[in-house]
Amino acid sequence: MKERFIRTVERLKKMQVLEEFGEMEEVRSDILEDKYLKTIHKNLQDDNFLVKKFVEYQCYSSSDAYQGFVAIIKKKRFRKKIILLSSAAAIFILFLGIIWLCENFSFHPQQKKVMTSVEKNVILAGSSKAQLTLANGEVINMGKDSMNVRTGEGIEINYTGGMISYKNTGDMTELVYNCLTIPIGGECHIVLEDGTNVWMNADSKLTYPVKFVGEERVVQLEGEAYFEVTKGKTPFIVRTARGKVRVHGTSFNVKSYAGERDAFTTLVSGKISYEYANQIIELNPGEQVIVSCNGKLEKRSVNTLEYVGWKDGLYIFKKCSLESIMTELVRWYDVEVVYQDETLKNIAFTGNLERYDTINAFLKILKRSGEVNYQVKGKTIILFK
Amino acid sequence: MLLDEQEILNAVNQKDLKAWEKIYDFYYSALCSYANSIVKDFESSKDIVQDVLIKIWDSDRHFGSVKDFTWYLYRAVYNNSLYHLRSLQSHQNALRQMMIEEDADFDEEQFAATVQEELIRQLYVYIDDLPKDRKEVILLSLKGYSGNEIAETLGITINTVKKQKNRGFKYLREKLQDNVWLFLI
Repeated sequence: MKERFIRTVERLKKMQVLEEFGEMEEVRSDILEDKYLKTIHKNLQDDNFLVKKFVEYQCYSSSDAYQGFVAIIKKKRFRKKIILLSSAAAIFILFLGIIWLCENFSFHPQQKKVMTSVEKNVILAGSSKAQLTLANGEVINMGKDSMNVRTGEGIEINYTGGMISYKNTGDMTELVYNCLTIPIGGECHIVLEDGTNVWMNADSKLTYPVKFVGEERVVQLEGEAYFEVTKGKTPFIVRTARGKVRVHGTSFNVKSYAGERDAFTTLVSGKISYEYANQIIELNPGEQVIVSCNGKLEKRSVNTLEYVGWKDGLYIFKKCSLESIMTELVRWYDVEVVYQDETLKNIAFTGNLERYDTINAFLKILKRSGEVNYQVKGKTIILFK
Repeated sequence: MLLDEQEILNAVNQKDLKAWEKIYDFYYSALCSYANSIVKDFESSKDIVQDVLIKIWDSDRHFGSVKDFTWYLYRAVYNNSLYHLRSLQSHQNALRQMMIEEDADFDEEQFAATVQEELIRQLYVYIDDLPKDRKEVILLSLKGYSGNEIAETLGITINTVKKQKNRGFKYLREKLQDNVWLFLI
């Protein structure tokens, strides 16, 4: 079977350029007579088929998987070392114990220590954090402190209370792009030149012009953000790796993380249209469009609060699997989650969570449900039954 | 990206953690897509492939050639996908072992699906090698940009877009032929 596989792959490869040569008629007829192999040859010659497959491939991030792989391998190596070290340590302690026993002939009853249960390892929520890359490549880090930056072009950038705004962009006649990157465990609010407000969630990136020039206002988003677009003469467009949103003055949330299967765009008020791969869907308030990994668009009605609550400091989960809740929290609290039992991932929960509370508050509620237990070690949360 | 067979083989056999990144680059997406075609679940597919790669890392198995390795990967992912489906059916945690019977036959349809995945995987690897202008056009179309949008973004005509896209795919197919020596034979 292995030999046949290798041979068949090889012959089909040759056929891909054969069209030009006309040689090897036998190879061809042989393959073209087989009903399955014939289809493969046809598919490989079809650009649209290949595009579809490649788009699917891109949904699986090999670099993320590789990082996961490295983490697992390192953990395993570490564990091996620990086992070696701890057995050495155990022998040593035993040895000390024997010496101690020999030196003290009588035993003293040990006093019972009263254990005080102090909550250790409290993990705080994320906070205002961002990295702004200017057109000249200069990078500005923003955190707790307010700041005022003046760029070479005379533009003033102000950052106060977690909000970025621009001044003196009046005389610009061409598009100059800045890029705002929010790390895991961060968030930021930015007011664009046209007055549009954007609330950026953790692990997200927005590329936008300092001043909108031309017939469209276009920004590019990776990750999640809530938009309140100022009505203007020109349409406002949010581009993502999976489609674009065209708006005229409206509020909506876009969630399009590269490593996730689905991308969600939820409309709160106004009207938007969603465009992807030659499909267009119009949304009314309360509706949501989902782009799945295979490029299909789907529209449905939702309770918008579940999708935009984060912006006002509230996570609302309604019959959400523990896995999807944790995906959200990992980004905001910058933690790692380990499931000791895979079945935990599918338990569904309903409830609200204060975004600025510690993650421990949430974990306590989880525990109270009786279905999940937890342990916090540094920045790792271990969930078990 | 001229990697010879020996280099990949060394990475696999000698457990060079850094070099394994290439193995992920080359195989990961295609294997996930392959698993997904069987289990029809995005997240499980990723878990299955990751499991297989970790088990290979942990095993003492030595591969004689890249084609052996490639074949083994498909077989392992296929078997583990079936175990996954079975464990779903019986609501039990199946033994996630790699019980690979190398000579067990695929049915004709699965055989063809495997051949096709492997060919597309090889095409995909060469996107990085495309000449810049063709690569730009193809990457944008993978992002879901329409022909007109690509033309607008790159400041070229729609006809040029079509031509570049077409030539890009042709280049990938020709590359398959050039690099016959690379992966197989």
